[in-house]
Amino acid sequence: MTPSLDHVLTTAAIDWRVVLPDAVRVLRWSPRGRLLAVAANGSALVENPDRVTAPMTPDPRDAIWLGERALAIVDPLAGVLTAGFDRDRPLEFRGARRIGTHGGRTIVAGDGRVAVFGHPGIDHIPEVIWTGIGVTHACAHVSGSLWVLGGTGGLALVDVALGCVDTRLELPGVMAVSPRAHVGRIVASDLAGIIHILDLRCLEDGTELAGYCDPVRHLALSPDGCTVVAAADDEITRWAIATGGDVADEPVSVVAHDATITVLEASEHGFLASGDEHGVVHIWSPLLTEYPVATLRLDSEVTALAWNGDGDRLACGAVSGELILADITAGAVA
Amino acid sequence: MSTPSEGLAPERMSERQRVPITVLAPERKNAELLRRFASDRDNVLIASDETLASAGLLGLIRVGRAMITAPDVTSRTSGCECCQVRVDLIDAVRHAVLRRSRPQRLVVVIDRATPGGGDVIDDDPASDIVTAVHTLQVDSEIERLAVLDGLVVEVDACAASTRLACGLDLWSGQREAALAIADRVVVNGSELLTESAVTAVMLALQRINRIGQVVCGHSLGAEVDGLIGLDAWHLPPSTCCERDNELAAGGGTLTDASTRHDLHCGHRAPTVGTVVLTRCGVLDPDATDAWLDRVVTESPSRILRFQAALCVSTQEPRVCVHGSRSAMRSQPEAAPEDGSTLAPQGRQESVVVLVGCDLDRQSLAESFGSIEPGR
Repeated sequence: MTPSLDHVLTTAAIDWRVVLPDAVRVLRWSPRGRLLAVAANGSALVENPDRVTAPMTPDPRDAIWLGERALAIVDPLAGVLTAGFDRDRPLEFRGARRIGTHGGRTIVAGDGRVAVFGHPGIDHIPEVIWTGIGVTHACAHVSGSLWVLGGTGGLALVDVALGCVDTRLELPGVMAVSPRAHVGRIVASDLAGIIHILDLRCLEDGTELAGYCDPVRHLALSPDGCTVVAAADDEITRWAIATGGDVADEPVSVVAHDATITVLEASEHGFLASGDEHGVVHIWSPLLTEYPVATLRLDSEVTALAWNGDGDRLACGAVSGELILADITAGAVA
Repeated sequence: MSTPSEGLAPERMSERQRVPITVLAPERKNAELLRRFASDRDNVLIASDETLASAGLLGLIRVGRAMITAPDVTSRTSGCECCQVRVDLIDAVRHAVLRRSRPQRLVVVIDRATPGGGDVIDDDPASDIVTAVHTLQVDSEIERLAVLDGLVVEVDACAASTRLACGLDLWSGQREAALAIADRVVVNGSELLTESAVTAVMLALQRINRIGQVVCGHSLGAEVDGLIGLDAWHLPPSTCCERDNELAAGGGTLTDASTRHDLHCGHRAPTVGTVVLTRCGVLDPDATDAWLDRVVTESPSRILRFQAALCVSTQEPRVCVHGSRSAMRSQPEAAPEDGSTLAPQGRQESVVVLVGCDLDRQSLAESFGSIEPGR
């Protein structure tokens, strides 16, 4: 999908709508486009809207597809639950909060440590790396075996192949991270309401974007790595980054919603989705930043959004358990 | 931009009331009060696994009536003690409230730190009640979803009486701070003491706590109705401080709670004091705002709790201000629930209650008295 001004004609058509037993907490797409939705009571919907499991865990926090046939859910109390591996007990990992997988390695981040599994269905004993950043709140794959973790004590770049922390940066409570390896850049937001634009080669060399009254919990970096998008209260702000790395003095701000923005999710094709506490989901084009190009409505506060890999399907979950799947068709002039 | 209009569901999160939070600081190794809170099906507990296990309440997790949390403290400003927040509480409150069936009430249990089951550590920020209260007030996400209702601190009457009789310090550090800012101090085990011993403990507690109420645990019965629905962090300051000796200073009236301590007794005077400032007449809003800013910025770490009802207009209701450390929230004073109207004299009286460590009472009174009158 190539961004163009035709995006003003973008449409969002609801494919199906279902209600889960509890608030939708996690939405994840498999590489081939299968949807996983995890509700707050631990039940999960796997691809088919008619197929919802019984509660699997009391307090699910994150989930991931492991290929197309298996998945894992993390719970701070229960640990790592896997489905599709003929395993009837969870892998013990107290305080597990985030999970990710890449290149045959699955990492589970928790209280001050990261567990690196070769494959959760096979490995019982992971390699544990102490991060030194306290409880992990954000986790993202950077490149190769490099992962970035944001936690209470700051930011850590972890090399899971070498089993060590590559670099650590002290920051006050990192809430969100977004890396773009091809431009050598990471953005992170902290509890002090500051966005940090960091150079992957030297984390200490960074730019601070201030001016937010509250912590910025919703953050994204555009696929080209040249625009930082942040949501705070009802506003979306965009900071442009020049090729040389210089950041614009002022952001472009837009009052994007009539209520507090609760979720922000960027697709790999430049589109952006934002949801608010009134249940409104706006779709934003990269070339038309002042107005949403499409809008969806849920019956209560939006709690999760997820774009599929192709950027043409958007899953939206609400606190009532409502889950909708919409086909997003970018506008085009014939 | 387009605006949402039609097809909206009748009930939305923002239209629903925020979930009230009761912060409970139970006495160590005494789960009675915690169990009373747990017995109310409307309550969802947020506590450490150790606390839930010792009270036999771990089963509540399975039915969604309890959430496990572990202290996770950081400072919003690097190295600043008064900006410390408990990130785990923000996370837990968010996950507890964002459910299809929201809880009627959250009970956040703050334990005293006992690493390895050993002695209590009194200066651990993880078990600091003020840090927990500050977190619940300062974070925007919690403010959106929930509201601090009251702080309940439990005291073991037997242990307190023993310390009192032996001339030991009654409470130290964080415990004293928690008692000073509590809305309800529940004295448990008083039925095991003589009447005079109970009176001595109650008086000692009332000397520290000038802002709330000290109540006997057995008088509460099996319910906790008297400990919830306090709305103590929104209402104007209670009038319990009016009994104190008054000292006019700088045009305002100053009440100094700590001056009531008997200097000839064997205990050290409380390090936490309560300063009450009162003033009649309308205050200039901008000057009052500047005074508040100055008070907070000059000594945020020393201010454990701030409560005020300020008259800044003859036409509008008083402004109620609440906070702890650097966090401060304000809203117009609500009309009394019984439908009565405040007496004109009450409407035009400003009251400020400051609970803190080493507060300069004279200076505060003078600066409060020097606020320009409103026009």
